[in-house]
This record gives sequence, C-alpha cells and structure tokens, in this order.
Amino acid sequence: MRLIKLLLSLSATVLLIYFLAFPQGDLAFAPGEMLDPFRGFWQNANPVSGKQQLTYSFVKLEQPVTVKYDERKVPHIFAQNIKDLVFAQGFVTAQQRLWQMDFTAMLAAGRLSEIIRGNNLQQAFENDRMMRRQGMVYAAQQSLDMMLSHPESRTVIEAFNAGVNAYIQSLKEKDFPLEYKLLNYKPEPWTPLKSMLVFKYMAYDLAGRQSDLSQTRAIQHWGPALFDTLYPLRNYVEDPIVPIEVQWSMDSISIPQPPANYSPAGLLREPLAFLTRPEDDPALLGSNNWAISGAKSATGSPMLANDPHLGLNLPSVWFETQLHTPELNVYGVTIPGLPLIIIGYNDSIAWGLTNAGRDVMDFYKISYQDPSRKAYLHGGKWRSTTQKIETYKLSDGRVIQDTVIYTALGPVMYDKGFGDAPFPLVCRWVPQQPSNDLLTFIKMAKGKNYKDYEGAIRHFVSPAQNFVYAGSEGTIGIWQQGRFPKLWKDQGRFLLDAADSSHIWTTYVPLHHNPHIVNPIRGYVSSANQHPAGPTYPYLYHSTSFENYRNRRLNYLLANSNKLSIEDMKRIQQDSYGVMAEDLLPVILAELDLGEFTADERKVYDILKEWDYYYHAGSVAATFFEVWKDSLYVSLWKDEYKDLKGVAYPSLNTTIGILKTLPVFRFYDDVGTSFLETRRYLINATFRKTVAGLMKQTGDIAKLSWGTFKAAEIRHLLRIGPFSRLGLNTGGNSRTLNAHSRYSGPSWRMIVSLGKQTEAFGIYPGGQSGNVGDKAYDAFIDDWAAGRYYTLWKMKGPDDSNGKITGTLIFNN
Amino acid sequence: MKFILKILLIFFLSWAAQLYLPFWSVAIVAFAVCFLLSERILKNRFSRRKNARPSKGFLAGFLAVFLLWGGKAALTDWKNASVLSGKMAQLFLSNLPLPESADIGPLAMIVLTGLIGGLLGGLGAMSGNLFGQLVKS
Repeated sequence: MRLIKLLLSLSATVLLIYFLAFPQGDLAFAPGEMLDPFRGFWQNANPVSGKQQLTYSFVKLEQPVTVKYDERKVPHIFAQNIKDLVFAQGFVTAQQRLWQMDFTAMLAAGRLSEIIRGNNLQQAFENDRMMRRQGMVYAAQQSLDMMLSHPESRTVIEAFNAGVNAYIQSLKEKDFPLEYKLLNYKPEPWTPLKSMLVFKYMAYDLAGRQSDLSQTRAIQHWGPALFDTLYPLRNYVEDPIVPIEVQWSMDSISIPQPPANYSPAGLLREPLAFLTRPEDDPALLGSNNWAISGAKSATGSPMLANDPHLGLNLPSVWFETQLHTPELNVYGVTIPGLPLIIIGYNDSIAWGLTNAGRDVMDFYKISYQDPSRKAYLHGGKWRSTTQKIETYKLSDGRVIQDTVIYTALGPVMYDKGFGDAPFPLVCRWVPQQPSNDLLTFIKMAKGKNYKDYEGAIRHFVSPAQNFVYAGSEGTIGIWQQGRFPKLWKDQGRFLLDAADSSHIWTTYVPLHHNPHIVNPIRGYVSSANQHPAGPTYPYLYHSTSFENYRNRRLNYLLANSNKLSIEDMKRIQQDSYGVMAEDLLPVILAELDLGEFTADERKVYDILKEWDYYYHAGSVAATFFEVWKDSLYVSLWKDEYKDLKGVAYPSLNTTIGILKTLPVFRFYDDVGTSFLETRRYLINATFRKTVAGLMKQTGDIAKLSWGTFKAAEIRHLLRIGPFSRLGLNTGGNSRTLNAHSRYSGPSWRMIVSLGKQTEAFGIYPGGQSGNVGDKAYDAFIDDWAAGRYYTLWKMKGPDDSNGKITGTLIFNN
Repeated sequence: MKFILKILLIFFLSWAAQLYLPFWSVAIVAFAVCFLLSERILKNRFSRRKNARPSKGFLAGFLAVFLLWGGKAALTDWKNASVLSGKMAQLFLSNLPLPESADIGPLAMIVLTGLIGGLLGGLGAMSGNLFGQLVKS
C-alpha cells in the first residue's frame, strides 16, 4: 500500500517536472523555466527606481571610460579615443537593445526560420529565402570587406563588435532579454557582419523595392501611350528639393542613349507567378527635413529639423546616445547594431536624413549556356557564374539547402525553383556593391563646418538619402547623396536583358552632379521624399513613389514665415494639413448630386464642405474623406486590373492628378457592367457607399473621429499584443507633415538650433530600454503622441550637473 | 516543530539550490529534506503523530516553495511596480475568467508562480516522506 502511494506520488512529481521542463502546446519555452522567479520572466522585471553604479574591467580598453545614464536612460559616453568610445557604445547599446539588434541581423540574414515556430514558420522561411536570394548576406559581406580595409572604419566596427560581445559574455542565462526566453534560444556572439546586416536591412527597408516587373507587365498590357498617363515620370505639381528655377550648369555631362531598337514591351509576355500582390504602399515610409538660415530664424542662427518616418515598432528603431572624446562630442540617435550617430548634431554642425527613394534595384533576364548553369550570356559573351549553397536550419529540425547562382550583375533571385519564374531573373541592386558608408558617420561626428559635411557624405552609397545640413558658421545646405547609375531614358523602369550589353549600366552619376543646393536666397532648404530636381536636371532617374503633398506644405510654411522660433519648428513638424485633400476634395464635392441625398449624406456633405483639411485627431471630416478617397481609388482601377495579377495600380498621387484634370477617361467606366460609368457616377457611388458603410459601422457620426478611426499602433517586433501600444489617438496621416499613419510615422523628431549656444529638442515613440519589463520600454510614447519634446542634454563632461544622473558605468582598462 | 523545521529547511536549501540549479531542484530539495526527517512509522504504529501523514509532508513542501517563489515574485513585482507582470498576465492568462474591472493580472502571476513552485515542493516533499517511511519501516 505504502509502495503504491510512493509510486503514485513519485510519478506525480516526475510528471509535473516533465510538464514544466519542456515546451507545451504552441509555446516555445518550458513553463517551469518561465515561471521560476530566479531565472524566468521575473528576472526581466527591472526595479523602477534606484541609482545604478557598476564598474567593469576590460583589457581591450586603452583608457578608462565613463558612462552616465540620465533620467530618460540616455547613455552619455566619455572616452579618451574613438576606439574606447565605440567599445562602450557597443556595450551600452547591447545592454538596452541586444535582442532587437540580434533579431534585425537575423531577419536580414534570412535566419528567422531558425527561431520562429508553429504556424508562422512557413511564412518566416519564405521571407528568409527572399532575403538570401536578394543577396542580403552577400551585400553585407561586400561592404564589410571594404570597411575592414580602411583603418578608421575598421577600428570602429571592430571596437563596436568587441563591446557588444563583452556585454553578451557578461550575461548569465537568467539575464537574457525576455524574447530569448519566450522563443527559447540564446544570443550568439555578435560579429562585424551583423552590424553590416543591420545596415543593409535599412537599405532593404528604404531602397529595397522594385516595380520593374510589375511595370513591364503594365506597359505590355496598356501600350506605351496609355502607360505614360498611368505611370508618369513627373508629378502633376512640381515642387522638387532643388527649386525648379535652378539652372543646371554642369561641365562634361554624358548621358547614355537608349539602344535604337529598345522596347520594353515584349520582354515579359508571361504573367509572373510570384507577383501575387502589388508592393506595399511605399509612401508610408518617408521623412521630412529642413534647415533655415539665420536670416529666417528668430535667433539669427541656422536651425535644422528632421523627422524620419518609418514603421513604428517596439523596441524602437532608434537609440539615443551622446558620444564624447577630446576630438568629438556628438549627440543623436543610431540604429541599434550600428556604431556612432546616424542623425544628430555636435558642437558645430547638425544633420538629418530623408529617403531619396530613387529606384536602384533592377531586374535582368538571363539565359544560361546549358543546364549546368555554369555560364550565362552577358552583353553578348558567355560569362561564368558562381554558386552559393544556402542552408536553412528550421526550428522544427528540418535542414533545407538551396543553391543560389551569382552572376556579375548580382544573384539570381527568381527562377524555376523560387517564384516559378519563366526564366532566371537577376536582382541587381546598388547596396550589393562594396561601400564604406560608415566613414560618413565617423567624419560627420567630428565635422566642424560645411566642408567637413561635404567630405563626410561623399562616402555614403546606399540607401541614398537627402542629407540636410546646418552649421553654426551660418551655412545651410542639402545634398541628395548616394550612388546612382547613369541611365538612359526608361532604363531600369522595366525588365532588362543581360544578353544585351547596352542594357547593362556601368557608370554612375558623378558625386558632384548629385542634386544639391547650398545657402539659397529663399533662406531654407528642405526635403520630403519628392523629386530631387525639376525636369531640366540632366540625369535620368525614376521612382513610383515621389511625394507630392508633404513637400508642398513644408515649402509653403517655410516660404511664408519669418523669424521662426523653436516653437514654430515644432508646429511645422506637428502640422497635419492635408494638401492631398485640398487638391482632391473640392473637385469631387462639386460632382455630388445634392438633390438625391439622404439625411446622413447631407450631414456628411456639410461636414466635408466645412473641413479645413487638417487631420486633427478629433476631425470627423478626415475620416470620411480618407474612406471616400480610398473607395474612389479602388473603384476606379479594380475592374481594369482584375486580370493583371500583382501589377500595382497607378499611384494615388497620379490618380488624383487624373481625377482633377480628366473629366472623361476610359478607366472611369466599370468594364464589368454594360452601363457606361462616368467620373460623376463614380464619385457619387463611392460617396454613398462611404456614408452608408461608416454609418453602419458606428451608427453615430460623432464617433468617427480620425484618431479613433485610424487607431494607430506601435507593435512589438514579434507582434505580441500585450508588449505593444494599441489604440493611440493622434492626428496626421502619411501625406501630412505629421506623417502618423496606422503603423508608421515620425520615428524621431529632432530640432536643433545652432549658434553660440546650441539647443536641441527631440523625441521618439518608444523608450531607451528594449526590455518590456523596464519602465523605460515605452516611456516616451505618451509625450510623443501629445506632440511634446524633450530638451536634449549634451553634457559638457561626465560631471556636468545640469541634469539628473540615474546610473553610472565605469569601464576600467 | 518538525513541521516548521521542514518548511525552513526546504525554503533555505531550495533558495541556495536555485542559485546554481534549474527550477526542478526545489522538488529534489523537498524530497531530500522530507526523506531525512521522515517518521519511522513502524515504531510509532500505535502512537502515530499527526505529522507523519504524507499530506502533512506535502503541506510543508508546498508552503516552503510557495513562500519562496511567491515571495520572490512578489518582491520583484513590488520593485518593478508591476510593469511586467501585468503584460505577462495578458499574454498567458487572457483566457482565464478573471474579473476585468480590477487589475489583478500582477497578483494572478504572483499566485500562479507560487502555486507552481508550491506544487513542485509539495509533491517532492510528499514523495520524500513516503520514501522515508518505506525504507525506514
């Protein structure tokens, strides 16, 4: 009897331990390990108060380093040389953001399928294959090799790497960031390649889109004339970065000529199986930056502002830091995983970035010599390929191998084995080329004047950016900086043929011919992802997503105001005036048949008629306009594009230009009906549908305020609901200066006033800690959503007592 | 007295073990303590004391580790102002019929932690007790 009792009790104990010690159900982790308060999630619950004072010793350091954390948990790093400085930066960045850095590097390397389990595994694997076939690792390696061959960048990238690894080595299992525990894996050692992968991920995010294949299908289908109406190269209003009246006087310009028999139609007769849906709306990622001269500012000295718009996630894409050595003192933000400061200011200069958005990714059709795929036709000659075997170690234990063929132009991204393409398609992408972009940020950190800035940005290759500049010496300027292929007209808009040597671009726009303007008479320089220059700029370029609204609003506000103060600069960043609505709404309201209105329709009509075009959080008109506009957009194109699978509709921008200027246009007709629909019909039908749909949803017009309807979210990178901030009530949308749409928006708002005493303000929607168990995880979000800013505290030295210090790290050598 | 002694021994020895060993070490500790301090039942067959009952062994182990795990969790949570525990409760306990009005997520996580630890300790202790009784009889 006693034996049975013992056996029962023992079995119960063993069963319980078994249940707790292994992952159960959909969970990747063992429940016992997660709940164990000595090792599990409780260990990630950081104390909310208390001063931290820690001392470490590292033989790698040449001199001691002091790190002061202020009350917003911004590290201020004081070192005697750049090597020690960046080592400490690597350490503190990893201390706050290790999992995020590691995750981004794995995402870029196509390795998420190693850690993602269950239902999402297949999706992760597809994504991994795309990353690898696009040559992300290859691209990172190319640039890394170049960076390591230059002593200055080598020092920085290796010191950062050593700092991150020093932090990783200091960790016990219980200290691992919570996401490692939830996904049940361990941090690997950091490598310089991982930093490069993080950088190339930004290139992928900002310049990794192509519309070549979809556009080739479109021109094939519509013919060249109609295609030009649907996908024009210029916007219907011109307001480029370099003012349109600027005359281009350049020496020795050579523009390549298109081959005599060139015709993009005919290259791609087959629909492509992998083109299943149009690309995401690229307009969601954009940015604003500008600088005003002393003549336009209240202080008499230049001011600079920047707000890059990116996907908003937690942990945040940016990490705020001050870096100080005897030769540099710089404050700003970096992307966790990258050393130095990407956007910021020092004692003399400030700089900011917006995305150039020009197409730098082209697809070439190739033909192999024989089934061995060892050679392909390149400009009329056979050239050998190389093969790279990609190995995927899936989280469910499967190991999958995939051979990727590399040509002189780039990797074969799509073929029979991936995407079921009718012929092999090579992805040629400027970020695959070697570059030492890091030098830009090394030199910028030390920059003292405009000349230093110019010297710094020339190293920047991709993703091409508009670098705005303001210096305390009084200069303002902006350069569109990056490596741009020299193209003939339409080259790279459509599929190219590697067999034809004239299709292969070989030269680049000389750097000094990149669009730029310095100290213009109008007293300001600005950019908001629009065309870099007017139609007279001699070099050819294209994109399907040049902005046409934020740029006009920004230039309007800057042109029509003087004596701009810091508060004015903040107001411009927060401005939610919709130029798109101003363009479109009067045109479509005038077409409504007022006589046939229901009471609700009448009410909505009145609301829209009185709208001031501001996307305030409380605006009901903004909600009705947005839904109506989207409905109109889809109704206009849906029927004609039904058979063009994966081909993007003409851009919203182009659509509005068409609606404004073309009263009669064959696309207004719904080809699915025998009735001939007109623009007027389309406008009225979508208006009625919008009113009925929204009323059905809520039953109460007052409940349809824009902020509630938009329901913006800042999501955790793993899309874990409780780790995200949902239902933010804010104004703005992607086409207004305050470009806060549902999942993306101003990821860092910065304003710098230069002069004798530099003042700076900034905020980002997140917090310095990447740990969901730290109160600093999302500490800035409410202030950010309310439009508030923090004063950025550039400490004069480690003992500066103008602010509050909450922690000190001492690194001894 | 022996009951209190068992609780104290399991509590402190588990604490020490947890610094080096995985979570299930608490069950081993509880087993060992209760084995060593178990009653020799045969001898006391006719004057059996209450704490010889295996359920009492369970209770000692349960209480010791419940206090250790629940206490550690509560202390951590207090210092953390429940920043993390509320989110973890939403993540793992969202299916439970917890009252929505009061924010009891943090408390639920502390109790859950204590219960799981307590079960480990309790079952370990009970087995130790029974094993002791068996070999010592």
